[in-house]
Amino acid sequence: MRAIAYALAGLILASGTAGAADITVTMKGMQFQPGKIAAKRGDVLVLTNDDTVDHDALVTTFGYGVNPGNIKPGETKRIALMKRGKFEIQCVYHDTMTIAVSVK
Amino acid sequence: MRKRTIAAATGIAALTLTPAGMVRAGADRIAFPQGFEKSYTLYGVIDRPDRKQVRFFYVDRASLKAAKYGQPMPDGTTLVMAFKKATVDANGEPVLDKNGRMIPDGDFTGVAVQKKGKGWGADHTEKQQNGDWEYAEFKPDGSRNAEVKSFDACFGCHSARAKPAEDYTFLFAPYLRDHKKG
Repeated sequence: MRAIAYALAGLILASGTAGAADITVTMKGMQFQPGKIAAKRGDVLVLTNDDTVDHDALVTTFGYGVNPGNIKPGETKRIALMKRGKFEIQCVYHDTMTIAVSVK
Repeated sequence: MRKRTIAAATGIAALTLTPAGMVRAGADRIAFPQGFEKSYTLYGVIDRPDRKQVRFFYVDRASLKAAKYGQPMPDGTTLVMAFKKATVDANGEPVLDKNGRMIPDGDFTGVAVQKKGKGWGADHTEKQQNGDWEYAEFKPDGSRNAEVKSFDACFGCHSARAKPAEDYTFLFAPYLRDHKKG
C-alpha cells in the first residue's frame, strides 16, 4: 500500500509497478477532466492546468492525504497512485472541481 | 479615605492591565491548545512535497463528538494544523517510506489553529469574514509566532469552503462525511 504524490514535476519514484501508465487530467473551465478515474496501483495522474487561473489538487480523503501545491496556468504536476482504494481530489480554490479516483 | 483612594486606583490599574480583563479580538481569542497531540483526534495527514513538509490535522474531541456532517461546526470547534519537516535525501528531495509516504523529521516546527467562537465573526468586515472562525499561529512551545503579521492568507484560502456543510474547512468536513454519518 502506497500513496505517493509529488509536486515536483517529473519527480516520481520508481515503484517497481509493472505496466504503470500516465493518466492525463486537464483543469479547464473550472473542471477536472475526467471527473472519475479508475486506475491501477502505480499509475500516475498528470494534472495540467489549461485554465487562466490557478488551481490545486488536494486529496482530502483520510489515509491518502497529499497536496502537490498550487498549479499555475500552463503548469503540470503529478500524483502517483500507490495505494489501493477510493479517494477524492478537490481544487483548494474551487470546491466544485473534484475527481473521484479508484485505484485497484 | 486615603486608603480607599489607593485601593480604588489599584483596582483600576488591575482592570486595565490584566490580560484576563481585556477584550480579546482576532488571533488573540485563540489560546494554544496545550497537549493537542494526545488529547485531540487526528483526522488527517497531508504530505506537502513542494514545501518538504508533513502536516498533521487534529480536532478537539468534544467538537468531533458534537459535529454532524452537513451542518455547521459547533461553536468552540478547534482545528489544529501542526507541521513537521520532511526527511530529505542528499539532493534535498523528500525520502519516502515503504508505503510511499513522506517521513516526518523530528518534532513539530509550527502549530496553526482555526477556532470557531459564537459571534466572533462580528469582529470582521463582511469582506473578510469566515463565519465565526478565527486563526492563530504558534511556535511549538506554545508562544505566538510573531513572524506571522497577518492572517489574510488563512481567511482568503478558507473562504473557498463557505458552504454550510464545509464551514470553511478543507479536511474536517470530508472527514465527517466519510467517518461520521448523520
